[in-house]
Order: sequence, then C-alpha cells, then structure tokens
Amino acid sequence: MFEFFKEGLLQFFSYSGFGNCTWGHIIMILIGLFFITLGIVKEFEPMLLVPIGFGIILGNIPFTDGLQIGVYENGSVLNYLYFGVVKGFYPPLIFLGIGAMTDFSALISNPKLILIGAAAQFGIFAAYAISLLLGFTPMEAGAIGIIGGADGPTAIFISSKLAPSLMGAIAVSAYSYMALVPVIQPPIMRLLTTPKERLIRMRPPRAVSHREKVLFPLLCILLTAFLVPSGLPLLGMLFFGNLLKECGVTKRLANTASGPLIDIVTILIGLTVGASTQATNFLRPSSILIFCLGAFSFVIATATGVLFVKFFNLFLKEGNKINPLIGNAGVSAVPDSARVSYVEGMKYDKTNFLLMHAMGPNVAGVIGSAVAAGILLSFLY
Amino acid sequence: MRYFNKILFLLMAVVVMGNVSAQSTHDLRFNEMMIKNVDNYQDEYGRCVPWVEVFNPAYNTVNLAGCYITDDTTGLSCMGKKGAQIPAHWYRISKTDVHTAMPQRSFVVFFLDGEPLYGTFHVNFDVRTSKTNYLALITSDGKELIDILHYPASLRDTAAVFGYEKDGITENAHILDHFTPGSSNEVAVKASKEEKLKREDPYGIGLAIIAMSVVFSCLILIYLMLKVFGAMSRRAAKKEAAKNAPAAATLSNAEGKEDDVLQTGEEIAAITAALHLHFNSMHDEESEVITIHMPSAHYSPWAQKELVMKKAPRINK
Repeated sequence: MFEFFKEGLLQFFSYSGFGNCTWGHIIMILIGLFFITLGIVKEFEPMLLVPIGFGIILGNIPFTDGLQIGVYENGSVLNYLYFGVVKGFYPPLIFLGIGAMTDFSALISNPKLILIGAAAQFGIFAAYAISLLLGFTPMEAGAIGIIGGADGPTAIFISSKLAPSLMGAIAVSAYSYMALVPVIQPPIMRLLTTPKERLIRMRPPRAVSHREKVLFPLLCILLTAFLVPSGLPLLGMLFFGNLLKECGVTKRLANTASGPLIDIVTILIGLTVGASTQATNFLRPSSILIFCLGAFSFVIATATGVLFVKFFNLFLKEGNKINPLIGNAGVSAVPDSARVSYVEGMKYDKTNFLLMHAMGPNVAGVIGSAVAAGILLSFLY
Repeated sequence: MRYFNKILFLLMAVVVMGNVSAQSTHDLRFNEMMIKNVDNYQDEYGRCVPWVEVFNPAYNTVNLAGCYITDDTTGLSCMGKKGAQIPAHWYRISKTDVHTAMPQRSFVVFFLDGEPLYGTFHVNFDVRTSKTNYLALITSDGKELIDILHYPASLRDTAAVFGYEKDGITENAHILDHFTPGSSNEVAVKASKEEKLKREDPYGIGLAIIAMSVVFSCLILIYLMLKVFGAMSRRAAKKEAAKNAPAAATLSNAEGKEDDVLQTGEEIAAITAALHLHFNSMHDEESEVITIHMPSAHYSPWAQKELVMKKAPRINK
C-alpha cells in the first residue's frame, strides 16, 4: 500500500509545475514579473506591459505536454485565443480602434508633416538589411525590421505572416521598445539637434472643417490601398475607424471601436502574445539578436525622422520651419512619441507647445508603417 | 438627372455583380486529360481508363455539384426551354457528394469511362468512342459553357497526356511531358519569392530603396490631396465669411464691439479646454460624503455572507 501511494505522489509531482520546471521557465517568469513591475510601478505602457507580462507568466508555468493547456497545444483555451494572433485578425481590429480614437486634424492642417512619417520608416529597412547580413532569411528579416515601425499590431500582423516562429520575440520586442520610447528617443533627439533648432516655434495649426475630416479617411484609403493593396487589412480598418469617428452619425460604433472593442482585443493580444513566449521557443540566441536589431531599428527610425526635418528645413522659409524635436514622432508609437517631443520642447522653452504639431507626424507614422508592412508582404509573402 | 444617376448606379451594380460571379463555377477549367491510358493513372477499382482533370483557379471553394460534363454540346441552346430533356451524353455531377466541393487552387479528376454507377467521378460517356474531339463543362442550369477543351483525334491512339503547361492558363494546349493527374501541371521547381529576392538583392538595398520610394509616394499623394483640399476649404471658408460679413458687421455694431474672429487652432483649443473643464466640474450633488468620523461599520456582501442571506421569518406568538 505504501508503494502505491508513493507511486501516486511521485506521479502527481511529475505532473506539477515543480516537477517540470527548468531554468528557462524561471528566467521567463522573472521577465514577466519585470514587465508587470515596469507597467505598474513605472507606468510604462501599462495597458500593454501588464497583459504581456502576465501572459509570459502564464505561458511559462511548466506542465506535462498533452494536457491541452499550453498556447501551442491544439484545442487548448489559450490556443483558441491565440488563433487571432496566428491568423492576424487581432491587429486590424486594434487598427479599427486606433482609427476611431485618432484625430487627424494636425495632419490635415499642416500636410507637410506627413513626410516625416514616411522618413521615419527607414528604420524598418535598415534593420531588414542588417538582419540579412546577420544570416536571417529575407522573410525573417522583414518581420524583424518592422519593429522599427514602432507599431505593435503591425509587428504582430507581419510576423504572423512572414516568420511565425519569431513572432513572440518580435512582438515582445516591439511592445517593449514602444514602452521605452521616453527612454530611447530623447538622447538621440538631443544628439542630432542644436539648441537653436530646439527653440523653433511652429505656426499654429489652422482650424479644420468637418467636411475635410470626413473626406480624409475616404480619400486616404483610396490612395493608399490602390497603391499597396497588401496593406488593406490594416489601412482599411484604420481609415474605417476614423470615418466612424468623424462622420458624426455613427457615434455609438465609434465609441465601441475606440472603447470596449479595442480594450478586449488589447487584453487578448497582450495575454496571448505573452503566453507565446514559452521558454523552449523564446530563450534562444536569435531572440537576443532580435531584441538588439529591434533597438537598432528604433534608433535609426528616430534619427532619420529628426534628420529629415533638419533637411526639410533647408527648403522652408523663416516662419514656416519645423522644430526637429517633432522628427522622432514619425515612428508610429501613438501618442507616446508625440508626448516625448512635447516634453523635450518644454525643457528648452516653457511656452513652446509641440504636442499638437507632433501629432501630425505621429499619425502619419501609423499610415507609413502600415504602407511599409504592405510592401514587405507584397515582396516577401 | 436623378433617373440618370439611378441608371448609372444600376449599371455599376451589374458590373460589380459580374465580378462577384467570377469567383464561382465560371472559373473552373479543364487542365489536362488522357484517353489511351494503358498503365498510367488508376481509378479506385484499379482500372486504367481515360481521365480528365478539372482545376479550380479561384481563391475560394467552388462546388461542381449540378454542373455537366459532356462531349456533345448540341443540347446547349435547348436547355432551359419548356419540356427540354437532358441530352444523353451530358453527365450531371452529383449534388449529394461532398467531394465535389473544390477548395481553392485544387484539382479533381473525372474518369471518362461511361460507367456512372462506379461513383460521382465516373461520367456516363466513354471518350474513347466519342464522335467529337472535345470535352465541355457546362453550368448547372445547362445554359452556359464554362470551359471547352479541344483535343486532337490522334490522342485516342497515343498514350500521352494533353493539356496546359501552366494551371488555369488556357492557352496553347499541347501534349505534355509530365503526367500529373490530381496535382499541378507546373512540375518544374520554381524559385520562391524569397529565394529570388535573396539572389537578386542579397543586402536588402534594392528593397529598401523601392519600399521607401513607395512609402514616400503614398504619403506625398496624401500630402498633395490635403494641400488641394486645404486650399479649397480655405476658399470656401472665405466665401462663407464674405457672405456673412454684412450680418456680422451689423451685429458687432449693434453690440458696440469689434468683430473678433478666431484665427488659430490654439485659441480654439484653449476655449474648448476651458469649456470642457467647466462642464466637467458641474454636477448636481456630491458623490461622496467627506467626514472625519469613522464609519460605523465596514461591511460588504462579499465579505459577510449573512448580509445576503434571507432573514428567518419573525414569528409572532
């Protein structure tokens, strides 16, 4: 009888998390706890880091295979929730919400700011080239490069198509750097600008009519989707959400898209992306490389945005010049990078409010990264 | 004018509907066939009989059920008329077999052996004894030809496969080198997009230049569009202001004030923010009571279950 109970207890232990735990699981759980701490204590993108951090913990609780628990096991609850990531339908839903909560007025009133959003996409392709040199395949390199777009949903969408095996690392890397925008960008902005340039005051934006705001999403989707149809899921949902917001007659739909819907999808995407970082799949040298390349692409994107503004200023008349501190906002981390421009601007002139101006390139960055994603898909997928 | 718009709308709808029907049985194509099958592809009974392969080039599932395969299209014009009978050599594909649903870009093989009782994929005519030299696929209403494949009469005496080099590209059908019933005719190993890109652009510079050009082109187009719309909007606003100018002047004179038009977004933003703060701070009653006294009891239905339980009835004696 003693032998029987001993055997039962041993079997129970072998099924438990303690019996299956490895150093990899412990490291990943610590990373999850670190993310949650960053989100709660430092308030770095808590809406993203808390679900991702908790997802990392969920995904790294050790268990015996075959119990239909893990995110990669067919038929498990987490696997069903992960379906939206694998098939790439969560990111367009998030874009719908982003569209419904974004005000494109700053861009409409000062259209030249949109070009900054284009310039900042260079980070994506610089990281693509470096990834190729480091031995990644073109599809993997494309998925890694998109981290430089500073757009979590786009990064997930592209990596789910081009490199599903790297999706966990890419998504966590993209969201981490988005959360670290206030840490990464200011030194680059200070390095590339002179004190005189940081004091440039921009012309206040003009008032934008309702008609312009309604026509903007309609014309933009026609222009961008005809040029890059592969970006249709992201661009279509972005501009559809914006039309719901601006047309004025679909307030309830706009409120749902920008409120409950985006919140639900954010919870699901954050949790499942976090859970997909199982130690066995995640703790590999390639993940560390992806993190380094992600940082590189983020730095390049910020730098090209700032440098582009400086270059652009050469052709602009006095009084029309752009403050290069808004160049960083060309990456599409909305609204964090615009907030960084504002905070940095305030450091040098307490009466120079750059937030409204920085929102222009910031939302242009969203469009730019979706277009860049479309190009990568059409070339590689 | 209104009628003209309606007609235009209807015409556009018809065009769109036409495109929609393109993702249907109308897309199906004969891909390859063989008549003198000596020791080649076998049916489910192990017999070597003539066969033809149908390809679904669409990117959605298309169901063949109800369509006809024939070697004689003479009944085509009569079908649909009152009292019309299905011609003898028309084989109607079963509507009850689930295997007739063809997934996107898939293939299905029909045996042209004149043995329809052998299964759904065995037609009711034997192509070896056909009087014509073609095979036709016809819609389920029997009125339209979906596809027709003309083959040389000599194919009956040659153990060869006849069809198209590329799946779904119905140009220049000829004797093929490969036998691929049920799978793609494109047997040559093609380099994938990724492999081509790796070969042509090993450092990613070409892709970077092209992609950045496309991103800039897209955003420049939006920039130009916004420029044009901005100019139009400003012109419209000026017109509106000019129209309202006499009334505004009268009003300002009557009030003895200067005409004060908001010029910038900052002014509007400041006023909006002030109004927002004002309205948000307005409320009828306080939501909380602020007091320095300790509350008499801390309880909640979650913590104290007896509070949510039914009270025992009081019995008056």
